Amino acid sequence: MPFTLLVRLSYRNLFRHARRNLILLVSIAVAIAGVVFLNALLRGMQADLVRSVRINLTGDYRVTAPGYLEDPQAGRGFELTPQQIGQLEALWPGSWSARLVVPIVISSERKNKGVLLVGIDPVQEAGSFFAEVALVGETIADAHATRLLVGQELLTQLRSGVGKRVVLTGQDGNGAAIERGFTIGGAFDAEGKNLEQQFVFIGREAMQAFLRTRLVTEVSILLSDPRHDLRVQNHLHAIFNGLTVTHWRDGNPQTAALVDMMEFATLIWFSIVMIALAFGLVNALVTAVMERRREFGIMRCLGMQRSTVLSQVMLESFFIMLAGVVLGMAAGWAGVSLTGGEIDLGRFAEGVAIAGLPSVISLQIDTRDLLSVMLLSCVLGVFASLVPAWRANRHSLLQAIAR
Amino acid sequence: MSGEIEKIEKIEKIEKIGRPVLQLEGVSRVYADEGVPVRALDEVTLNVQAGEFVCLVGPSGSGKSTLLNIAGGLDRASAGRVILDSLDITGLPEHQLADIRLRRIGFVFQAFNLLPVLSAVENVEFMLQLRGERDVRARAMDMLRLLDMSELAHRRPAELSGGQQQRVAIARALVGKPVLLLADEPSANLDSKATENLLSLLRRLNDERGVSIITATHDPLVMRHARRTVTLQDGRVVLDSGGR
Repeated sequence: MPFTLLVRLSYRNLFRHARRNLILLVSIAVAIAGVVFLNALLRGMQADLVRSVRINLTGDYRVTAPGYLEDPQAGRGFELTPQQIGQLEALWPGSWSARLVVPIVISSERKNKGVLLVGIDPVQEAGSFFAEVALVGETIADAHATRLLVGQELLTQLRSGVGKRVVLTGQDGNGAAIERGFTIGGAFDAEGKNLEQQFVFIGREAMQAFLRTRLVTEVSILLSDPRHDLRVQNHLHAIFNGLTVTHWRDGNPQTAALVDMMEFATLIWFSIVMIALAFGLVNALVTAVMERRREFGIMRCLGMQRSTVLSQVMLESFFIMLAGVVLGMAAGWAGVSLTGGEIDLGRFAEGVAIAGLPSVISLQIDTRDLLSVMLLSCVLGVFASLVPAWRANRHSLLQAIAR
Repeated sequence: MSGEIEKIEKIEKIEKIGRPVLQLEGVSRVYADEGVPVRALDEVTLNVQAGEFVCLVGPSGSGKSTLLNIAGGLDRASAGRVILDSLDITGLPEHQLADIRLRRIGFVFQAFNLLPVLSAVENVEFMLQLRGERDVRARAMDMLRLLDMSELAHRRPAELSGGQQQRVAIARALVGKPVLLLADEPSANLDSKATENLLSLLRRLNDERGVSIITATHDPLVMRHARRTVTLQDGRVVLDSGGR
């Protein structure tokens, strides 16, 4: 096939009806820019949602003892050996944390509430929400800290305050009932009230002493990429033989479903835009082809094969689509850049809190999305040109060249 | 170098002359016009030898263009055989006919039919590129030079006069060295001076290069330049002035 000839003809024909093609180009560019911007918004929401789950003590992977997830107790933990610590540090330095997490009842003079008591070593919590919260009073300084860090919302519900005493009631490592008084050292203000009601922090070793155990109940790994990686899972299985390894999606099926739904919504939106575009493209190309019916006839008279005429029409369509897609992507990218990469939803703070989203939504452009949009658009452009290409070819030679 | 080329072309011309280039054997073409059969060609038998300059004449509707279309593989005969350069093209599928049009036939149309987005030289190159050949620019320029069009080689068709466009069309038709040049009313859109120039050119190509030409025309000027005149009426050959 004389490809250079086809490219030359297609390229020149784009400028033949400059105004019509410009309108078509702008339509494609606007649609693609819209797709890119909405994609960035949905990707940002997805990322925020996933991040909020991952940093809320879930991590990407969580290692627990069998049965702990169904019935979390201090007795259903495991002892972290120096060898395991060495392997964790070698593979994911600074990205793992060992915690002791058990349900417990916290009681003030007026109220009591069921919460999760979380024993942490703050050095290992750089990636979790613990490192980001606003504080009143003191934080958990080290693994020996005995003063509690309680959420603001929980403090309000308990009608208690920083510096006051509360009583923690639960089961120790052997399943025996245990009760002890603690001082509230500080209060934290997190993104979303759920976290403030759900968690009470204490130093891990102090908690082990309280529960009379040497065990931890989980090791959490927080990586840079939230996608499931079988190699990581296999490494963890090798390090923690006999323990349960779960990905964040396993423990948060609702969030995982929501993330998948967003993915699907992006695809639906993209399909709708592309179908609308395809109609416009077909319409414009059919008009262009009908105007050039005689020209295509002449080319066939001179010996051009039907398939080559078909290729030429498809190539023209591909060029228009490609130019529109590149322009649209540039415009979409510029639009995202103009927002500074985030949209402040402060005016809808209550609504977004209910939806579990932060008040500032980040916009994220994913290179893979851009490549997919480019690829799918061009494929669709080529398919959309099949109708006009067929029409360019359907006449007999004598019909085509007749005046 | 150009002397060598001329020598080769003369040898080619001698080898070609006298060889049958087109044979129509009892060719008929029947169209259905609103259900009524119309016989455009009626058992036409015609032989054209290499190097001939044949002029098809006759009133409108006599079958001149139909004969050219069938000879050029643009239309199919309803009956009879069409043999082009020793190849029976009667029942060939469309893609093979397209290949034959590309490699063995040169077309010159009444309306020039140059591709408007290509320059003169690109229009000539078009044929060579379709054939997947090399050195297309040099060969196209050589052909335009032969037709005194090299100075206008980079102009688009819209920037050329009718006579100039027809020269480019002839250059396009001849650049691939076809065995037969078919010209349907080539002077219809030209003034008398441009027609005279065109005919001198065709005659020169026929004399010097042995290009076989069949042209359909109403124009007495064209008829005067042809060496053989075939008259058609109601789809039949009614008069043939004979060969060279």
